[in-house]
Amino acid sequence: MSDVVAADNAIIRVENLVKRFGSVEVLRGITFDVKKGETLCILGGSGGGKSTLLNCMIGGLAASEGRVVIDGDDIVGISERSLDLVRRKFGVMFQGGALLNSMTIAQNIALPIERHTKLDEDTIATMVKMKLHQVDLLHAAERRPSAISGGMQKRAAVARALALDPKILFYDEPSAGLDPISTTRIDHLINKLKTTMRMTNIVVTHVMESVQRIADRILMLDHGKVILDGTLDDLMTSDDPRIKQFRTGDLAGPGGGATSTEDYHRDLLM
Amino acid sequence: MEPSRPIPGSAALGWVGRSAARPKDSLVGALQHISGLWYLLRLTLYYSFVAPLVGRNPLRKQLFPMLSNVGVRSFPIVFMVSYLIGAILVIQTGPPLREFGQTALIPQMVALSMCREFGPVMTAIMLTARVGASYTAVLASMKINEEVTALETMAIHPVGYLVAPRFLAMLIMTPCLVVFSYLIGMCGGSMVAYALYGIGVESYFQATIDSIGMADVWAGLIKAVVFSVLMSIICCYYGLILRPQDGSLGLGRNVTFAVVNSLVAIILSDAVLGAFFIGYLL
Repeated sequence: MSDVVAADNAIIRVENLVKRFGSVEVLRGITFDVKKGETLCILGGSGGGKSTLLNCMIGGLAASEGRVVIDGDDIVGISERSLDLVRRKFGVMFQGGALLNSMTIAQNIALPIERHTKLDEDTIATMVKMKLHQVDLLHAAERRPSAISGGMQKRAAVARALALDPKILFYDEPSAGLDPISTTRIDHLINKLKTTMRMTNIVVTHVMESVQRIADRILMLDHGKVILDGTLDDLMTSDDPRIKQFRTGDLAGPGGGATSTEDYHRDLLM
Repeated sequence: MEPSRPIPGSAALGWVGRSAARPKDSLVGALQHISGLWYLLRLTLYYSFVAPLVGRNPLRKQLFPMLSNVGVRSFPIVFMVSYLIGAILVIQTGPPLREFGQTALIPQMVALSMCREFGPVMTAIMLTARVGASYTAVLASMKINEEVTALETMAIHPVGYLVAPRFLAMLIMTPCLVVFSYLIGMCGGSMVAYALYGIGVESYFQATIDSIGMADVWAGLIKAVVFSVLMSIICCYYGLILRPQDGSLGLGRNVTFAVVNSLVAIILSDAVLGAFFIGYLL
């Protein structure tokens, strides 16, 4: 594992990250830092490369070029065993929760603790209760993932990601498929983790309301390139037509969506 | 040492999965599948026998429910099939043997058939259908729900956590069920032999004991071990190579591939082992 000294207080550093699938370049030279205790929102339209970037950052996909430095360790080209050590520094909340359906919520949270520590069962049970309390799910400890709502599943997934007290949490579309109240609850949880635990949060999302509630910094991707690395104000005041269209949700613009009458007629006749 | 990984983690399985999605070059595809199966077998052997000894893959919690699923819950179906096979053997071979006045050979014929062939093969077929198909379906649905990826991000190796206990459960319980199948098959044969040819139960089992040797029992048990390795690895493999985007259609396709390929592998290895045993063991 190569140790890399991160500048300032950056806990994550991505440098010239390129990811190709065959001849298709999905990420085209992405560079950014994430500071300790910061919430970074990664935005972008569908196919912009958000999920690929997240997967490269958590070691799910091997980068084609560049570096991904997590808390001093470059995970590009690293051995599987070394990557496992780096993985203990962060937790991931997947879009669907990805809880193991064969287990209760409490067993799901206990799993990483059982596998990576030598703590006795009573201590693990206490830790699980603490994690469940943090996400306000103590009452659902013995229920199975299929027996709780989507919002509760996502909070349970956050509790599991917190099991080994990571420094960094990655969230893949935490608001996807949730009602507005559940979305707000998840956003408050993300903010609470930042303020109480100085957690570094990296959130892939495209819900503007959530971004306004949680983001310290925003990274916007379009066709595998960074088109914005700045604050919420930068996002709201940008004149870039791609950012403007994303912000307003207009069909007309560089992101496509609207079909002109001429194009419609041509499509019919072709 | 953990086997060297030509392609890491799920990427390895995804690589083979992508090759499976391009059937245009079936020979290359088949070789890639064989290479993927071999790779999975090596990893599974490591996580089943080496990693637990060095504290890297505790199996106790997952293994016992698996043993119950493979062994105890397969008991009724193996009982029924073995009993019927023993009975059918006597029904079908009794008349020609009676024509030649050789009904006394019925116990030997049933015993040898059950030990060398029907016990292990029928048990393996039942386990492939009952347990192997569920291995594929469960692992594939875990891939679709990103549960396997979640395990990887928790630094829990999916092969160690998901495949090794399933492999060991099959490896331990298949020989047990095969021995059980021998006995039940002989009971089935004995009942029909008594009803149709008046062969007493005591004399039937005495003739059985006199006619089979330990080599026959071992032949069946060795087959059971080989079949259990093939079944568990093939079925787990087809579950793990599913890509989330393949969805339910891919899940159904992979379960079919898993069951069909397991059955073909069982019959092929049965032929090879049968020829080997006749030449060297029996």
